[in-house]
Amino acid sequence: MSDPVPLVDYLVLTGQPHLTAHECTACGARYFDRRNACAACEADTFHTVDVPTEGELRAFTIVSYAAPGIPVPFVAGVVDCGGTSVRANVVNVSADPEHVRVGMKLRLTTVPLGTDAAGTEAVGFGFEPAG
Amino acid sequence: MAENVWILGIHMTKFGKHPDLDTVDLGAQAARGALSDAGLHMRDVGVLAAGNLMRAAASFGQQLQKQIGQTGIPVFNVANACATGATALRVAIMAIRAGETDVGLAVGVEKLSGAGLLAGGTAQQQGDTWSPQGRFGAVAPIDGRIGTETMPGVFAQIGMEYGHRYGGADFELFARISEKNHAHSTLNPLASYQKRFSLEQIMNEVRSWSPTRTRGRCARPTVTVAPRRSWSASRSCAPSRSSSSAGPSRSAPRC
Ligand SMILES: [Zn+2]
Repeated sequence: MSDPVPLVDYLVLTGQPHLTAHECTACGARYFDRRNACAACEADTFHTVDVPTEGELRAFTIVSYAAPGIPVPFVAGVVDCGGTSVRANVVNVSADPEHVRVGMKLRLTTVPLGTDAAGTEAVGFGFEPAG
Repeated sequence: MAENVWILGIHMTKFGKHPDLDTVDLGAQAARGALSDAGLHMRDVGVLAAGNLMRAAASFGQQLQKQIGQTGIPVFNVANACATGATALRVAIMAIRAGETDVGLAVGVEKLSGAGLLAGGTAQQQGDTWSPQGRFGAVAPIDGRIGTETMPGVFAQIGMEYGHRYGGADFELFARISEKNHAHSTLNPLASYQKRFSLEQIMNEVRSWSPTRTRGRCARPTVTVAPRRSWSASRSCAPSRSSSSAGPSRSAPRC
């Protein structure tokens, strides 16, 4: 059986799962997607950096309507991981305002997404309450 | 360069689903209404700026000319999200200011019926086998799996982050914006709904994208939209003979 594939290329599944970012070598701005040049300073060289796996919830919304195949309700959020803003779902928590609050401590976790026709599993990520 | 640009005429269609009218019908009504308001005809107009987002590749301006007057003038099709209609107006004003023409017509139209949740652009189809695509190298659509790309959800998060950063922006504040907007709607016969809601009614409504609501609409920064709300509106304007002129248009507020 083949190794699981990550949902996105900035999720690293080998060893301790973590996220990586493209960091601008000139100004330090970080991006998760492929970039042609830095939107902040125009430099066009990046290096790959590891993003901390723990962070604080900066914003969230509890989503009740979503595309087909997405279980609802779920918590969509933005997590501040040591100064890097990470868009992610908040998982392993009740999707209600009593259990989710801005400022809560979170840590990265992986989420299985199923297998394809070749039997390969895809793995996504989310952030769960830490401690 | 024209010192001043005047709006000589204006027209707006009623917000609604308009199942029997297409984008061009709505744009034609708005454009002809504005021309009539200004006492002008298409042959008086030297530039057409046409705004439409959802079918941005369809050359709405040319389609409109075909219905209301093909007079051989330049047409600029623009698409700029919520600012599409405003951008059309700006293009008409710039043409007048540049001295290309004395009269311009700007039209903005949108038909959102059936547009769904207005998610972002990274959704993609899932194939038989996982294969990385796009700038995130994603093997499946990321909307809903990595946060939300739906407009109500994005704006809900922006509102929450605003409150977190500056304080004082709690749910009641957003509800009050919605209350105010509903109050304004009762003053506009062209508004989609003209119904007043109390703060209490709004606060008690089911939230689809906490902290946003389902029914309220247009309460930026936290949007409150119905999941499948639809409307179409357009407004156009025609400018004038002796002095220069431009016409406004308005893209339908995306919410
Ligand atoms: Zn940079």
